[in-house]
Amino acid sequence: MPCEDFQDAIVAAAANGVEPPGELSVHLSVCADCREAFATEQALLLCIDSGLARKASVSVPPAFLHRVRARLLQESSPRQAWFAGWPLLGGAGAAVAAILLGTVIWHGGWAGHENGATVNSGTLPINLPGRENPASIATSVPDKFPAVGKPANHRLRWHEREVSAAKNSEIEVLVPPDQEVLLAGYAAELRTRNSAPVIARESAVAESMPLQVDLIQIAQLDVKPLAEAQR
Amino acid sequence: MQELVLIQPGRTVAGEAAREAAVAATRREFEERLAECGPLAFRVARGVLRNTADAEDVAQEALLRAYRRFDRLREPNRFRAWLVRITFRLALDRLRSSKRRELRETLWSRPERQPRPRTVEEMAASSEFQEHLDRAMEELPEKQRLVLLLSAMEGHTIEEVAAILGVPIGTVKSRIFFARKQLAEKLRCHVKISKTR
Repeated sequence: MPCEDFQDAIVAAAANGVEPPGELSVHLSVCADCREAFATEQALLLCIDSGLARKASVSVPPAFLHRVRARLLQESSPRQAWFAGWPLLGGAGAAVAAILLGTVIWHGGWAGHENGATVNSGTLPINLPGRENPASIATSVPDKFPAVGKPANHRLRWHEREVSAAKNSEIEVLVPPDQEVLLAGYAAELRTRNSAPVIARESAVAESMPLQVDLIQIAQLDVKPLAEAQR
Repeated sequence: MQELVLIQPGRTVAGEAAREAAVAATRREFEERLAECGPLAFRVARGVLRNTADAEDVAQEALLRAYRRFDRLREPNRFRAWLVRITFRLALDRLRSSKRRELRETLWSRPERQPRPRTVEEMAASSEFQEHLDRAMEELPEKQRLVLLLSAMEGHTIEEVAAILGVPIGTVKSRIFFARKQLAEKLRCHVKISKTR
Protein backbone atom coordinates (compact mmCIF):
# COMPACT_ATOMS: atom_id res chain seq x y z
CA MET A 1 0.00 0.00 0.00
CA PRO A 2 1.59 3.30 -1.07
CA CYS A 3 1.89 6.22 1.29
CA GLU A 4 -1.20 8.38 1.18
CA ASP A 5 0.70 11.62 0.59
CA PHE A 6 2.33 10.27 -2.56
CA GLN A 7 -0.53 8.25 -4.00
CA ASP A 8 -1.72 10.94 -6.41
CA ALA A 9 1.82 11.92 -7.33
CA ILE A 10 2.62 8.29 -8.24
CA VAL A 11 -0.43 8.01 -10.49
CA ALA A 12 0.27 11.39 -12.08
CA ALA A 13 3.93 10.61 -12.71
CA ALA A 14 3.07 7.28 -14.28
CA ALA A 15 0.34 8.83 -16.42
CA ASN A 16 2.73 11.55 -17.57
CA GLY A 17 5.16 8.93 -18.72
CA VAL A 18 8.13 10.86 -17.37
CA GLU A 19 10.66 10.28 -14.62
CA PRO A 20 9.20 11.03 -11.18
CA PRO A 21 9.92 14.57 -10.01
CA GLY A 22 12.52 15.28 -7.26
CA GLU A 23 10.49 14.86 -4.07
CA LEU A 24 8.73 11.71 -5.28
CA SER A 25 11.97 10.31 -6.59
CA VAL A 26 13.57 10.70 -3.18
CA HIS A 27 10.57 9.07 -1.52
CA LEU A 28 10.57 6.15 -3.96
CA SER A 29 14.18 5.46 -3.16
CA VAL A 30 13.29 4.89 0.52
CA CYS A 31 9.72 3.48 0.36
CA ALA A 32 9.40 -0.03 -1.08
CA ASP A 33 5.57 0.02 -1.10
CA CYS A 34 5.46 3.22 -3.11
CA ARG A 35 8.14 1.86 -5.42
CA GLU A 36 6.07 -1.23 -6.05
CA ALA A 37 2.92 0.87 -6.55
CA PHE A 38 4.76 3.09 -9.02
CA ALA A 39 6.06 0.05 -10.91
CA THR A 40 2.58 -1.45 -11.06
CA GLU A 41 1.17 1.82 -12.30
CA GLN A 42 3.84 2.08 -14.95
CA ALA A 43 3.19 -1.50 -16.04
CA LEU A 44 -0.53 -0.83 -16.22
CA LEU A 45 0.01 2.23 -18.37
CA LEU A 46 2.43 0.32 -20.55
CA CYS A 47 -0.26 -2.28 -20.91
CA ILE A 48 -2.81 0.40 -21.84
CA ASP A 49 -0.42 1.93 -24.37
CA SER A 50 0.25 -1.39 -26.01
CA GLY A 51 -3.48 -2.12 -26.07
CA LEU A 52 -4.10 1.25 -27.69
CA ALA A 53 -1.34 0.68 -30.19
CA ARG A 54 -2.80 -2.68 -31.08
CA LYS A 55 -6.20 -1.06 -31.42
CA ALA A 56 -4.89 1.77 -33.56
CA SER A 57 -2.57 -0.15 -35.84
CA VAL A 58 -5.07 -2.42 -37.50
CA SER A 59 -4.25 -3.17 -41.10
CA VAL A 60 -6.37 -1.46 -43.69
CA PRO A 61 -8.25 -3.91 -45.93
CA PRO A 62 -6.46 -4.06 -49.29
CA ALA A 63 -9.59 -3.32 -51.31
CA PHE A 64 -10.65 -0.41 -49.14
CA LEU A 65 -9.20 2.35 -51.33
CA HIS A 66 -10.47 0.67 -54.49
CA ARG A 67 -13.95 0.55 -53.07
CA VAL A 68 -13.78 4.21 -52.13
CA ARG A 69 -12.60 5.09 -55.65
CA ALA A 70 -15.46 3.09 -57.15
CA ARG A 71 -17.95 4.95 -55.02
CA LEU A 72 -16.38 8.27 -55.98
CA LEU A 73 -16.77 7.41 -59.66
CA GLN A 74 -20.36 6.44 -59.03
CA GLU A 75 -20.87 9.70 -57.18
CA SER A 76 -19.54 11.88 -59.99
CA SER A 77 -21.05 9.99 -62.95
CA PRO A 78 -23.22 11.99 -65.41
CA ARG A 79 -26.28 9.91 -64.48
CA GLN A 80 -25.99 11.12 -60.93
CA ALA A 81 -25.53 14.67 -62.16
CA TRP A 82 -28.62 14.31 -64.33
CA PHE A 83 -30.67 13.14 -61.38
CA ALA A 84 -29.15 15.87 -59.27
CA GLY A 85 -30.75 18.40 -61.63
CA TRP A 86 -34.26 17.24 -60.83
CA PRO A 87 -34.69 19.19 -57.61
CA LEU A 88 -33.65 22.33 -59.48
CA LEU A 89 -36.11 21.63 -62.29
CA GLY A 90 -38.84 20.88 -59.79
CA GLY A 91 -38.15 24.12 -57.99
CA ALA A 92 -38.28 26.09 -61.22
CA GLY A 93 -41.56 24.40 -62.18
CA ALA A 94 -43.06 25.20 -58.81
CA ALA A 95 -41.96 28.82 -59.14
CA VAL A 96 -43.56 29.14 -62.60
CA ALA A 97 -46.76 27.53 -61.33
CA ALA A 98 -46.83 29.93 -58.37
CA ILE A 99 -46.35 32.93 -60.68
CA LEU A 100 -49.14 31.74 -63.00
CA LEU A 101 -51.47 31.14 -60.07
CA GLY A 102 -50.66 34.56 -58.66
CA THR A 103 -51.35 36.19 -62.03
CA VAL A 104 -54.70 34.42 -62.33
CA ILE A 105 -55.70 35.44 -58.83
CA TRP A 106 -54.52 39.02 -59.42
CA HIS A 107 -56.70 39.45 -62.48
CA GLY A 108 -59.62 37.75 -60.80
CA GLY A 109 -59.79 35.22 -63.61
CA TRP A 110 -61.16 32.37 -61.55
CA ALA A 111 -63.76 34.44 -59.76
CA GLY A 112 -64.85 36.11 -63.02
CA HIS A 113 -65.44 32.78 -64.72
CA GLU A 114 -67.23 31.30 -61.77
CA ASN A 115 -69.66 34.25 -61.54
CA GLY A 116 -70.23 34.58 -65.26
CA ALA A 117 -68.77 38.09 -65.37
CA THR A 118 -67.90 39.20 -68.88
CA VAL A 119 -66.05 42.37 -68.07
CA ASN A 120 -62.38 42.11 -68.76
CA SER A 121 -59.77 43.98 -70.70
CA GLY A 122 -60.63 42.25 -74.01
CA THR A 123 -64.42 42.36 -74.05
CA LEU A 124 -65.72 45.70 -72.94
CA PRO A 125 -69.49 46.10 -73.41
CA ILE A 126 -70.68 48.36 -76.19
CA ASN A 127 -72.32 51.56 -75.03
CA LEU A 128 -75.73 51.06 -76.52
CA PRO A 129 -78.62 53.44 -75.88
CA GLY A 130 -81.16 52.07 -73.48
CA ARG A 131 -78.62 49.69 -71.98
CA GLU A 132 -76.53 49.91 -68.91
CA ASN A 133 -73.56 52.24 -69.07
CA PRO A 134 -70.19 50.41 -69.10
CA ALA A 135 -69.17 52.46 -66.13
CA SER A 136 -72.23 51.31 -64.23
CA ILE A 137 -71.56 47.72 -65.28
CA ALA A 138 -68.01 48.05 -64.16
CA THR A 139 -68.97 49.53 -60.83
CA SER A 140 -71.21 46.59 -60.19
CA VAL A 141 -68.45 44.10 -60.98
CA PRO A 142 -66.68 44.06 -57.58
CA ASP A 143 -69.91 42.95 -55.94
CA LYS A 144 -69.89 39.89 -58.16
CA PHE A 145 -66.29 39.04 -57.29
CA PRO A 146 -65.84 37.17 -54.06
CA ALA A 147 -62.79 37.94 -51.95
CA VAL A 148 -60.08 35.54 -53.12
CA GLY A 149 -57.39 36.33 -50.64
CA LYS A 150 -56.56 39.61 -52.34
CA PRO A 151 -56.54 42.83 -50.30
CA ALA A 152 -59.54 45.11 -50.85
CA ASN A 153 -57.44 48.06 -52.00
CA HIS A 154 -55.87 45.89 -54.75
CA ARG A 155 -59.30 44.96 -56.06
CA LEU A 156 -60.36 48.60 -55.92
CA ARG A 157 -57.31 49.70 -57.92
CA TRP A 158 -57.97 47.04 -60.55
CA HIS A 159 -61.60 48.10 -60.74
CA GLU A 160 -60.73 51.79 -61.17
CA ARG A 161 -58.28 50.95 -63.92
CA GLU A 162 -60.91 48.93 -65.76
CA VAL A 163 -63.52 51.68 -65.43
CA SER A 164 -61.24 54.37 -66.80
CA ALA A 165 -60.25 52.07 -69.67
CA ALA A 166 -63.91 51.47 -70.48
CA LYS A 167 -64.70 55.20 -70.42
CA ASN A 168 -61.87 56.16 -72.72
CA SER A 169 -62.22 53.34 -75.18
CA GLU A 170 -63.85 53.53 -78.59
CA ILE A 171 -65.71 50.65 -80.08
CA GLU A 172 -63.80 48.92 -82.81
CA VAL A 173 -65.54 46.30 -84.93
CA LEU A 174 -63.88 44.17 -87.52
CA VAL A 175 -66.17 43.80 -90.59
CA PRO A 176 -65.75 42.33 -94.05
CA PRO A 177 -64.93 44.99 -96.70
CA ASP A 178 -68.25 44.62 -98.52
CA GLN A 179 -70.24 45.29 -95.32
CA GLU A 180 -68.20 48.31 -94.19
CA VAL A 181 -70.58 50.89 -95.74
CA LEU A 182 -73.61 49.09 -94.38
CA LEU A 183 -72.25 48.99 -90.83
CA ALA A 184 -71.17 52.65 -91.01
CA GLY A 185 -74.75 53.55 -91.90
CA TYR A 186 -75.99 51.43 -89.04
CA ALA A 187 -73.64 53.17 -86.63
CA ALA A 188 -74.79 56.62 -87.84
CA GLU A 189 -78.40 55.57 -87.36
CA LEU A 190 -77.56 54.24 -83.92
CA ARG A 191 -76.12 57.56 -82.78
CA THR A 192 -79.23 59.56 -83.85
CA ARG A 193 -81.79 57.24 -82.25
CA ASN A 194 -82.61 56.37 -78.69
CA SER A 195 -83.07 52.70 -79.49
CA ALA A 196 -81.28 50.33 -81.77
CA PRO A 197 -82.62 50.28 -85.37
CA VAL A 198 -84.19 47.11 -86.49
CA ILE A 199 -82.21 45.51 -89.25
CA ALA A 200 -84.04 42.23 -89.23
CA ARG A 201 -87.61 41.55 -88.29
CA GLU A 202 -89.40 38.38 -87.61
CA SER A 203 -91.86 37.79 -90.46
CA ALA A 204 -95.35 36.49 -89.98
CA VAL A 205 -95.71 32.75 -90.30
CA ALA A 206 -98.62 33.15 -92.70
CA GLU A 207 -96.53 35.21 -95.11
CA SER A 208 -93.94 32.55 -95.52
CA MET A 209 -94.48 30.18 -98.40
CA PRO A 210 -92.88 26.77 -98.79
CA LEU A 211 -90.04 26.79 -101.26
CA GLN A 212 -90.88 25.25 -104.57
CA VAL A 213 -88.04 23.54 -106.41
CA ASP A 214 -88.38 21.98 -109.84
CA LEU A 215 -87.25 18.43 -110.29
CA ILE A 216 -83.86 18.02 -111.89
CA GLN A 217 -84.11 16.92 -115.48
CA ILE A 218 -81.22 14.89 -116.85
CA ALA A 219 -81.44 14.46 -120.58
CA GLN A 220 -78.55 12.13 -121.23
CA LEU A 221 -76.36 10.24 -118.84
CA ASP A 222 -72.88 9.35 -120.02
CA VAL A 223 -71.25 6.64 -117.91
CA LYS A 224 -67.44 6.16 -118.13
CA PRO A 225 -65.12 3.77 -116.31
CA LEU A 226 -63.33 5.44 -113.37
CA ALA A 227 -59.82 4.57 -114.61
CA GLU A 228 -60.48 6.14 -117.95
CA ALA A 229 -61.96 9.24 -116.36
CA GLN A 230 -58.82 9.69 -114.26
CA ARG A 231 -56.65 9.56 -117.36
CA MET B 1 -23.55 24.47 -95.28
CA GLN B 2 -24.07 25.72 -91.77
CA GLU B 3 -24.01 23.20 -88.96
CA LEU B 4 -26.34 23.64 -86.05
CA VAL B 5 -25.23 22.35 -82.67
CA LEU B 6 -27.73 21.91 -79.89
CA ILE B 7 -26.35 23.37 -76.67
CA GLN B 8 -27.97 23.48 -73.28
CA PRO B 9 -29.11 27.01 -72.42
CA GLY B 10 -26.57 28.96 -70.39
CA ARG B 11 -23.69 26.69 -71.44
CA THR B 12 -21.15 26.76 -74.18
CA VAL B 13 -19.00 23.99 -75.62
CA ALA B 14 -15.85 25.65 -74.33
CA GLY B 15 -17.41 26.16 -70.90
CA GLU B 16 -18.44 22.53 -70.77
CA ALA B 17 -14.93 21.35 -71.65
CA ALA B 18 -13.43 23.62 -69.03
CA ARG B 19 -15.86 22.34 -66.44
CA GLU B 20 -15.01 18.72 -67.24
CA ALA B 21 -11.31 19.48 -67.05
CA ALA B 22 -11.82 21.13 -63.66
CA VAL B 23 -13.76 18.10 -62.40
CA ALA B 24 -11.00 15.76 -63.60
CA ALA B 25 -8.33 17.89 -61.92
CA THR B 26 -10.33 17.92 -58.68
CA ARG B 27 -10.70 14.17 -58.82
CA ARG B 28 -6.95 13.70 -59.37
CA GLU B 29 -6.17 15.98 -56.46
CA PHE B 30 -8.63 14.15 -54.27
CA GLU B 31 -7.12 10.79 -55.24
CA GLU B 32 -3.81 11.99 -53.85
CA ARG B 33 -5.45 12.97 -50.58
CA LEU B 34 -7.31 9.69 -50.54
CA ALA B 35 -4.10 7.66 -50.79
CA GLU B 36 -2.57 9.79 -48.05
CA CYS B 37 -5.46 10.05 -45.58
CA GLY B 38 -7.74 7.13 -46.44
CA PRO B 39 -5.95 4.64 -44.16
CA LEU B 40 -5.98 7.17 -41.33
CA ALA B 41 -9.75 7.56 -41.70
CA PHE B 42 -10.18 3.81 -41.57
CA ARG B 43 -7.99 3.48 -38.46
CA VAL B 44 -9.84 6.26 -36.65
CA ALA B 45 -13.12 4.52 -37.40
CA ARG B 46 -11.70 1.16 -36.39
CA GLY B 47 -10.36 2.67 -33.18
CA VAL B 48 -13.87 3.66 -32.19
CA LEU B 49 -15.74 0.70 -33.63
CA ARG B 50 -14.74 -2.86 -33.03
CA ASN B 51 -15.92 -4.11 -36.36
CA THR B 52 -13.81 -3.83 -39.52
CA ALA B 53 -16.79 -3.80 -41.87
CA ASP B 54 -18.49 -1.02 -39.92
CA ALA B 55 -15.22 0.91 -39.81
CA GLU B 56 -14.88 0.60 -43.56
CA ASP B 57 -18.42 1.84 -44.12
CA VAL B 58 -17.88 4.81 -41.87
CA ALA B 59 -14.53 5.71 -43.41
CA GLN B 60 -16.04 5.49 -46.90
CA GLU B 61 -18.90 7.75 -45.91
CA ALA B 62 -16.49 10.27 -44.41
CA LEU B 63 -14.33 10.26 -47.53
CA LEU B 64 -17.35 10.78 -49.77
CA ARG B 65 -18.43 13.72 -47.66
CA ALA B 66 -14.92 15.10 -47.89
CA TYR B 67 -15.07 14.76 -51.68
CA ARG B 68 -18.34 16.68 -51.84
CA ARG B 69 -16.80 19.50 -49.84
CA PHE B 70 -13.38 19.30 -51.42
CA ASP B 71 -13.49 22.83 -52.84
CA ARG B 72 -13.40 24.09 -49.25
CA LEU B 73 -10.84 21.55 -48.05
CA ARG B 74 -8.01 21.92 -50.58
CA GLU B 75 -5.39 22.71 -47.97
CA PRO B 76 -3.87 19.34 -46.92
CA ASN B 77 -3.77 20.03 -43.17
CA ARG B 78 -7.30 21.28 -43.18
CA PHE B 79 -8.45 18.26 -45.16
CA ARG B 80 -6.74 15.86 -42.76
CA ALA B 81 -8.18 17.55 -39.69
CA TRP B 82 -11.66 17.71 -41.14
CA LEU B 83 -11.53 14.08 -42.26
CA VAL B 84 -10.36 12.86 -38.84
CA ARG B 85 -13.10 14.78 -37.06
CA ILE B 86 -15.91 13.73 -39.38
CA THR B 87 -14.78 10.09 -39.30
CA PHE B 88 -14.64 10.13 -35.53
CA ARG B 89 -18.10 11.72 -35.33
CA LEU B 90 -19.64 9.24 -37.78
CA ALA B 91 -18.01 6.33 -35.98
CA LEU B 92 -19.43 7.48 -32.65
CA ASP B 93 -22.88 7.73 -34.21
CA ARG B 94 -22.54 4.24 -35.63
CA LEU B 95 -21.33 2.91 -32.30
CA ARG B 96 -24.31 4.39 -30.45
CA SER B 97 -26.80 3.03 -32.95
CA SER B 98 -25.29 -0.46 -32.90
CA LYS B 99 -24.97 -0.72 -29.13
CA ARG B 100 -28.40 -2.19 -28.62
CA ARG B 101 -27.86 -4.75 -31.35
CA GLU B 102 -24.48 -5.65 -29.92
CA LEU B 103 -25.95 -6.16 -26.47
CA ARG B 104 -28.53 -8.54 -27.90
CA GLU B 105 -25.87 -10.49 -29.76
CA THR B 106 -23.57 -10.79 -26.75
CA LEU B 107 -26.44 -12.12 -24.67
CA TRP B 108 -26.92 -14.94 -27.16
CA SER B 109 -23.33 -15.71 -27.98
CA ARG B 110 -21.19 -15.24 -24.91
CA PRO B 111 -17.58 -16.22 -25.55
CA GLU B 112 -16.22 -19.11 -23.60
CA ARG B 113 -14.61 -18.25 -20.31
CA GLN B 114 -10.84 -18.30 -20.63
CA PRO B 115 -8.41 -18.65 -17.72
CA ARG B 116 -7.58 -15.25 -16.27
CA PRO B 117 -4.06 -13.97 -17.01
CA ARG B 118 -1.74 -13.79 -14.01
CA THR B 119 0.53 -10.86 -14.89
CA VAL B 120 0.08 -7.42 -16.38
CA GLU B 121 1.87 -8.51 -19.54
CA GLU B 122 -0.39 -11.49 -19.98
CA MET B 123 -3.31 -9.27 -19.28
CA ALA B 124 -2.30 -6.80 -21.98
CA ALA B 125 -2.18 -9.56 -24.55
CA SER B 126 -5.51 -11.03 -23.57
CA SER B 127 -8.72 -10.36 -25.41
CA GLU B 128 -10.40 -9.79 -22.09
CA PHE B 129 -8.15 -6.84 -21.35
CA GLN B 130 -8.80 -5.49 -24.82
CA GLU B 131 -12.48 -5.75 -24.06
CA HIS B 132 -12.05 -3.82 -20.83
CA LEU B 133 -9.90 -1.26 -22.60
CA ASP B 134 -12.55 -0.75 -25.28
CA ARG B 135 -15.22 -0.20 -22.64
CA ALA B 136 -13.02 2.16 -20.68
CA MET B 137 -12.29 4.11 -23.86
CA GLU B 138 -15.98 4.46 -24.60
CA GLU B 139 -16.47 6.09 -21.23
CA LEU B 140 -13.85 8.75 -21.91
CA PRO B 141 -14.90 12.21 -23.06
CA GLU B 142 -14.88 12.37 -26.87
CA LYS B 143 -12.07 14.90 -27.12
CA GLN B 144 -9.79 12.84 -24.92
CA ARG B 145 -10.63 9.69 -26.78
CA LEU B 146 -9.78 11.17 -30.17
CA VAL B 147 -6.47 12.57 -28.94
CA LEU B 148 -5.52 9.25 -27.39
CA LEU B 149 -6.38 7.35 -30.57
CA LEU B 150 -4.45 9.72 -32.80
CA SER B 151 -1.40 9.70 -30.54
CA ALA B 152 -1.40 5.89 -30.57
CA MET B 153 -1.86 5.80 -34.33
CA GLU B 154 0.78 5.81 -37.08
CA GLY B 155 3.42 7.10 -34.67
CA HIS B 156 1.89 10.57 -34.49
CA THR B 157 3.79 12.95 -32.25
CA ILE B 158 2.02 15.36 -29.95
CA GLU B 159 2.83 18.18 -32.37
CA GLU B 160 1.27 16.26 -35.27
CA VAL B 161 -1.84 15.50 -33.27
CA ALA B 162 -2.10 19.18 -32.37
CA ALA B 163 -1.72 20.12 -36.04
CA ILE B 164 -4.33 17.57 -37.14
CA LEU B 165 -6.88 18.77 -34.62
CA GLY B 166 -5.93 22.44 -34.80
CA VAL B 167 -5.49 22.76 -31.04
CA PRO B 168 -2.49 23.92 -28.97
CA ILE B 169 0.17 21.39 -28.00
CA GLY B 170 -0.52 21.99 -24.31
CA THR B 171 -4.14 21.03 -24.83
CA VAL B 172 -3.12 17.77 -26.48
CA LYS B 173 -0.72 16.99 -23.64
CA SER B 174 -3.29 17.62 -20.95
CA ARG B 175 -5.94 15.59 -22.76
CA ILE B 176 -3.57 12.65 -23.12
CA PHE B 177 -2.60 12.89 -19.46
CA PHE B 178 -6.17 12.91 -18.19
CA ALA B 179 -7.21 10.19 -20.58
CA ARG B 180 -4.41 7.83 -19.52
CA LYS B 181 -5.06 8.56 -15.88
CA GLN B 182 -8.73 7.74 -16.22
CA LEU B 183 -8.00 4.57 -18.16
CA ALA B 184 -5.55 3.47 -15.49
CA GLU B 185 -8.15 4.06 -12.78
CA LYS B 186 -10.76 2.07 -14.65
CA LEU B 187 -8.49 -0.85 -15.49
CA ARG B 188 -6.54 -1.07 -12.26
CA CYS B 189 -9.10 -3.30 -10.58
CA HIS B 190 -8.94 -5.84 -13.38
CA VAL B 191 -5.15 -6.05 -13.16
CA LYS B 192 -5.31 -6.41 -9.39
CA ILE B 193 -7.83 -9.21 -9.64
CA SER B 194 -5.59 -11.10 -12.01
CA LYS B 195 -2.54 -10.54 -9.83
CA THR B 196 -4.17 -11.81 -6.66
CA ARG B 197 -5.09 -15.11 -8.27
